[in-house]
Amino acid sequence: MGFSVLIRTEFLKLRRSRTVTVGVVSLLAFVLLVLWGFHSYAAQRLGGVSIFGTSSGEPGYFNGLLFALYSLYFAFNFIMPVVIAVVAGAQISGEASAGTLRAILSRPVDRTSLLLSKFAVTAMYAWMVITGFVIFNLVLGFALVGWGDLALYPGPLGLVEEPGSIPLRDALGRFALATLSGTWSLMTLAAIAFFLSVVTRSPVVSVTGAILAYMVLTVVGRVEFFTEIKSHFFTTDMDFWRIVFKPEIPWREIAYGASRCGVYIFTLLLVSAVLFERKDITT
Amino acid sequence: MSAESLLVTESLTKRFGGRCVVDGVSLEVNRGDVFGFLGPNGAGKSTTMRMILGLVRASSGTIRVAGIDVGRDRRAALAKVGAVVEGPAFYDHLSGWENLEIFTALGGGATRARMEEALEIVGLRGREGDPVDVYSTGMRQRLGIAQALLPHPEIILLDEPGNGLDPRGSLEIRALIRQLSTDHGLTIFLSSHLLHEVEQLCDRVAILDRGHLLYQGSVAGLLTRASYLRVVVESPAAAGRFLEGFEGVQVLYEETGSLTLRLSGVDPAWVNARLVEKGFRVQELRQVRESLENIFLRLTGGEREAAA
Ligand SMILES: Nc1ncnc2c1ncn2[C@@H]1O[C@H](COP(=O)(O)OP(=O)(O)O)[C@@H](O)[C@H]1O
Ligand SMILES: [Mg+2]
Repeated sequence: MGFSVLIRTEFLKLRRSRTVTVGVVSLLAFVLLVLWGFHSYAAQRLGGVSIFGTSSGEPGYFNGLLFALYSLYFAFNFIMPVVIAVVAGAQISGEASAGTLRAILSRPVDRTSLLLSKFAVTAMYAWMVITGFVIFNLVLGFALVGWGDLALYPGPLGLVEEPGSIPLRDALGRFALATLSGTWSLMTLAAIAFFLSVVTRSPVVSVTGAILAYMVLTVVGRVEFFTEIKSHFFTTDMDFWRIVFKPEIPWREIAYGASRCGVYIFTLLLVSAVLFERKDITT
Repeated sequence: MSAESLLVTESLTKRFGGRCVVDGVSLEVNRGDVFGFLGPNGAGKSTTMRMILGLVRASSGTIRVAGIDVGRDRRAALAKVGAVVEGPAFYDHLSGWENLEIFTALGGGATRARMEEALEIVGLRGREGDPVDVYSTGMRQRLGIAQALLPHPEIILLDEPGNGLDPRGSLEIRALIRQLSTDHGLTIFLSSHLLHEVEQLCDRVAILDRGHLLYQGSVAGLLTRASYLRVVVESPAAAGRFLEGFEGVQVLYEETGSLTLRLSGVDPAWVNARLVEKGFRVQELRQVRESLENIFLRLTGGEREAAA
């Protein structure tokens, strides 16, 4: 039995899954929240002028691309990691607690292949969610605010020290790149959730465990006191995804960040596979 | 052994953190058997089944399915097995059909026709489009059996198939299991804690208690060991003394107006004939079946009697 069959069955399971629906709905709701925030922030900056409806005129700094960038950036702070951790953390423990794991493994299935196919599907799911999210934001931003070059200032995004800009065409390519770097970054968290999913039998434990680890380190990483050790946090490594929006793409830094995340991903997957191969399925 | 053995375990043992849950169990299920694996809750039945399916690693001992060692080539062995372990589990938000698709894909796939046939056999045709959420316990059990049937297995493992079913539901499941054996020539290995379920379905049985195998053999053999004869007769004391002289008759106790016997190798009609011959007036002969608990008490606790 091929790996592709396993992938296909994992996708079949996600069909109409409540976790997926809740994830998508909360992401859409989040976009509306960002839109509201973006609108009022811009209004305050522009002295009460609404940014909506400028698509006919010439879009300025507060354009649809900037909106999409803000939206993506804020989503990656919290909601996107949660959406991915929920799916990744339930992969094994969720099936263990539902009893479907024993039903699957009673079939002539190779355990490591099953584990890897689940991780691959989680990655594809993450990529599709991020890509869908980016496209939705771009379309919404274009429709409501209009497009122009992506102007970057030192500020909440922390991308540049001095003002810079990315031309429109180039910026769209950056968003495409961000779907990939973002997926890879999130897979670090997914791998942690996955590992917890193999060692516990409760999806609540594996999902909240991964989310807590992420939240604690993210919050703590922003506190002055931890500046020295911050570089050892996996959340710091995960942050590499957004440097694709620097005016000049820092390929070396991207490669470095991606490989640090890769070390986490492969190590956790390897340990998970070894444990899963020898695990007694008693649920 | 003339029959071909399909499932064989040798000295199968499982320890969970030092506690021996299955202890040196050697089973032999022959092709064509409806084999009952009987034992009270916690005896180790599910653990044994899980070891056969490679879900739980045996601490020691071997398992062979159709000659293939499960420890060595789990996938080849499992290709011959269909199973429902400890209550059928499904993706409840998906339909019965979608669930079959998922599980059959994991075993190499099945044609549409085969899936329809399996649904037909278990009597779920027409309900396959409904989400499993809305299935009754009986329907879930039957979908589980359909899933087990799909890859054309040689043997089917069913863990307590009657659990949670109402009397009608368990009657239907028993009829289905019987049909799988007679019409489809399947070998069936089923566990149960209910003596009457096993008695109605199985030709061979193994009894497990606290991880130990207490009995393995025909159901008839078990039932003779598990039943008593209550004889309502005038002057039971004299009748008892008379009968005790015969080989294969053991007088367990007398009450006013009746005697309770255990027979081995002789049948009630024969006892009746001897009594009548001797001039005892026999008013009633009744076979009293021991409860499973009592068989256990006897098998595990020596000869302490506890007749019903
Ligand atoms: N993962 C486990 N860890 C420790 N003990 C277990 C585990 N699984 C089952 N047991 C114990 O093994 C014994 C047999 O359980 P089981 O095989 O489920 O019995 P049965 O199916 O006959 O009711 C029980 O006493 C149970 O508590
Ligand atoms: Mg059990």
